[in-house]
Amino acid sequence: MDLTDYEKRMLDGEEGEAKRMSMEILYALGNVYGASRMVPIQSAHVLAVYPHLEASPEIMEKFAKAGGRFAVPTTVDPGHNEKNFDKWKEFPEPEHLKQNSIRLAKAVETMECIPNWSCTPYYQGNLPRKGAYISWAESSAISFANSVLGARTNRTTIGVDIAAAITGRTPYFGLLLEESRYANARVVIEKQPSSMYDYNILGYIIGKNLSDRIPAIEGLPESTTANDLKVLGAAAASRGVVPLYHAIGITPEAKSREITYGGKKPKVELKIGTKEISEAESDINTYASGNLDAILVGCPHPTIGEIAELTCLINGRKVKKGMKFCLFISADVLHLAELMGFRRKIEDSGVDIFTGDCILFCPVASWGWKNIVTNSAKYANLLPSDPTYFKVLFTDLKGCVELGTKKGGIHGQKHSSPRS
Amino acid sequence: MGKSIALQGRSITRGYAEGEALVSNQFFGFTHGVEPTTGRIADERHEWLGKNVNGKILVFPYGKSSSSGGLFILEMIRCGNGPAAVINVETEPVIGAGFIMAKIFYGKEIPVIDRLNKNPIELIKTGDHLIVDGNKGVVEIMKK
Repeated sequence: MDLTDYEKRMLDGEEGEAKRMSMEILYALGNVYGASRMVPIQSAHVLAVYPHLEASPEIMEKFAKAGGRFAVPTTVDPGHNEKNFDKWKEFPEPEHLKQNSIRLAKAVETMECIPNWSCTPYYQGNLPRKGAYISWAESSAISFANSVLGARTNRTTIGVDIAAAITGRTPYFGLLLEESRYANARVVIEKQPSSMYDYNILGYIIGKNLSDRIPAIEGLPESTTANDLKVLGAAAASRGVVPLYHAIGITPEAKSREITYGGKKPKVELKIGTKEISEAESDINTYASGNLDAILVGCPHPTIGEIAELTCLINGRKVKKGMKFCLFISADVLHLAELMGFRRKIEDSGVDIFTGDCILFCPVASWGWKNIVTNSAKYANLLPSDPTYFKVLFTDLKGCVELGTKKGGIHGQKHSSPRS
Repeated sequence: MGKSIALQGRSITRGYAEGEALVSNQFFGFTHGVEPTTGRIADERHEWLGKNVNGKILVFPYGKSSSSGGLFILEMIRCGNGPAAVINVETEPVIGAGFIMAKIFYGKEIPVIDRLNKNPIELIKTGDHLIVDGNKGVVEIMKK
């Protein structure tokens, strides 16, 4: 691989130990995957999570103690740490996990991350232009950056994300190359999506069937929003490996069929109609019977629009006794929710707000939950496995509110029974 | 032991290993796929559910799921529960990076090989004894 003088100095350790370690990782990765050179990146998004894995704080601290500082604007994924979380009484946590979370947050902030603590960095100012080289972790954010923004990132894993942020470089291979980004699978939408629930299911079906492909979706309506694509991408990327998809007429690299497929005929075709959707609905639900323990909403982190909808649906209802209703949200959206009066209404209903956090990184083993309800296909994909082992009931936001709350409180309905 | 077959591929990482093959034609991801502290496969949607990766030579087509797989690989290896080797049709960069970093952070060389001259999923059966040489990119299958 050809390195510039500066990159050679980093590799040789002349720019400090943190850059040397980082360049060693990137150089090895680039050589294996056939990169001809490194390219400068415009931004990074990193993970500082999984406190239950000792390797996680250990590696983060290795970079920080070696003098690592992020060379490009670097946002950070949600984390279950004391900067974000203050409900230790209701949601107890083993002390060593708390300590590991604190170590992770301290190390990544020492390296000067932008502490957005969110999986939607594009909503917090980490907004690369079309064609920009970036190095992002977080499968849903990778999907959004590549597909919706048209920026270019490979699936960057933990460790490599930090290395790229410290050096400001990434090896030039994979999805950074124009010719690797053409669609090679065709998805025909036979039943148009009309809600976020529908976009979740579409993403699930695409992830299950077209993993390791670059799908082009044909037939998405003009009304499709960036936020719809956020959930579609998150569902696809957590069910399979889909770091990039196109939607013809909708996403920036898919102006026409010709351009999207690079002039070639796609080898695979997937039709998604009523039959495929109902199959996916039964596949995605792993819940069979028993008490529902918690409602989990906010994956990926919601927009203020989603919070407005939640507030509307709650409309004075109260969280059922014995049930936890958890909302995961970025601090900036929570701030808007406060300004707009949504926060008080949501909290009055008994919903627990987890700021800058994600259930995937919470110490759920000690919370005793078995069955959960969510409106996120990504949660439905990941929560049945290690380390959570939840059974999942997948529904829309309205379903979450109906299952998790009951009428009562401020509107004084007939059967009102305020939460005790 | 019967006859042996040698395949040539691309080395993602160096190292040498011998062991028993665990083969699946399903994609596999390490995040939420393996309990790093035990090596137990925990992916409820995978046919390997309940088996253990420790000391095995994993043969599967490609990675899947979360981009944090590299960390689960590092933790699994830190806990001494890593596989002996990995063979893929194509090694997904998240998995490749995990094993590359295992050498850098924990000094463990676990060979990972992909792009073999024949499809390993069709040729290798669970239980076959394999010799994996990551220094040369060679996989030798000792048929039972």
